Amino acid sequence: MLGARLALVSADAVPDEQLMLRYRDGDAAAFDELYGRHRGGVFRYVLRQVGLRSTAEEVFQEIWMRIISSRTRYRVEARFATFLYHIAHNCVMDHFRRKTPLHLVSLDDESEEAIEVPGPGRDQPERAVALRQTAAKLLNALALLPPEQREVFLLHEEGDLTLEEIAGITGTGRETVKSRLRYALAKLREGIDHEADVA
Amino acid sequence: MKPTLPEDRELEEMRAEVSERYRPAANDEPTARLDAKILEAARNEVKPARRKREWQIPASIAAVLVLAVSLGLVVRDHIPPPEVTGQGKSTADEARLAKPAQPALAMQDSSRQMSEAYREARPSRERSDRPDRQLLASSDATPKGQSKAMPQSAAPEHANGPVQSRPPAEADASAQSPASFAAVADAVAPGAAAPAAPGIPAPAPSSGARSFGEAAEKEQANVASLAVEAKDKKAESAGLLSKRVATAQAVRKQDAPPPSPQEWVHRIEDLLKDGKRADARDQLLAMRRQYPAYPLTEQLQALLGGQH
Repeated sequence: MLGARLALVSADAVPDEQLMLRYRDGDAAAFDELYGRHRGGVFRYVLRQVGLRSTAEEVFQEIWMRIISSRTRYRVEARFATFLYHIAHNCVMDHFRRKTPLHLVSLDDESEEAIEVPGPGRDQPERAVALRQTAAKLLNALALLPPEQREVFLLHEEGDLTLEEIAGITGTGRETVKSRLRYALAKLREGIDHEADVA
Repeated sequence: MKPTLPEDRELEEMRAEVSERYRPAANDEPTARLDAKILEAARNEVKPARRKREWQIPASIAAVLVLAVSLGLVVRDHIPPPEVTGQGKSTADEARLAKPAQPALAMQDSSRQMSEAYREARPSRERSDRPDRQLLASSDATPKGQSKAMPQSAAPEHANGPVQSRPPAEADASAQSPASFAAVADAVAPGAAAPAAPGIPAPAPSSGARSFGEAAEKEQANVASLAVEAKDKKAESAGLLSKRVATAQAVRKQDAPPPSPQEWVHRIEDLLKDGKRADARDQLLAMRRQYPAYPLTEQLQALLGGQH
């Protein structure tokens, strides 16, 4: 579980909020650490929604530039992750307003958008292949989700945000978020099982 | 915190199952180039702020100092006069305002007294330094025997210092004068401020003498101009008449102070030597009016005898 993993990693680490405060006061090294903690999750959150890696990089850069430029106004009013993903959500929404919606990623394509799933090890090649196939199916199913459900799943999975925090970011109620998450998980599980059945 | 509701537990189980399958696919990350770009931007955002603080603090301190100093100067130059609001206050304010005026008036009065006293008691050396005197002295630079004829330039030196410090020629000139005259001259010449010899009243620059002196000053000016003209006649042969006329005119134009008694006596003696007894007597009378207490030699007393 991602939340448990992050909790283990950051058990004795400086909290995100503290790092952001240090960066606000001029400590560039604090930002380096903060960025290292969240760069993957934010990038995947953006990539799964916008589809194209190049576009995802643009949006990703815009997110962090907003974080950087807003450092002097930063106040600890919530978890830093909530603050970060709130900005990410706004940037993605801005992107969707400017562009045409979603470019779906083809898993058969060898282009730059093709997702490479690393194997767990050379000693288990069959299992590695199975995991890669399952992940690809999951990503395919994720891309087919309605945007609202997909965003709720990504915020919950990549940002490790609670239902309340997601509700705050998306501007909806907690029960709405819970419902969207339930539907998203059901469809993702169904997509994996369906692919498995077909196979 | 584990979910307590059955539906929440079911949702958590579903999430765990999907998450386990999603993790291997969640390896997408930004490129190293993008990371470097963002981190560089973050550092650049911090650096200018530090630079700003570095120059802003001293600049603000300097600005405050400049403002304070300029404000202080402006306030100092434009201190408003004290306002008179009540009678009780006005008395104190008037007294306070009158204070600076009193020293100023006193200073004016004292300076006027000092200038008058200085004019009366000015050492004859200063007057001998005037251009006309210098001109006369240079033109009359004659051998020892003739130095007696123009004692004006020697007299001040005699009056201001002991005989030993004077040049030999001048010392000789004073030595040739009568002993009583030399003693009187030594006692009086340094000016009215010098203590007089016992039994000899010093020419005091009193207010009475000042009132009398105003009338006498004009007379003295005329006498001085006459004396200069007489000297000019002597100097015509030397071709310096034009210069002396100009000098005499300059002297007349000036508010000529009365000559010192010694100088006056020398002039009278010169007139007597030239046989101008009437002029000498007039000069003696004028001198007596200016310096009534000045002791006279027997020769001069004899000249004045007809008057007494």
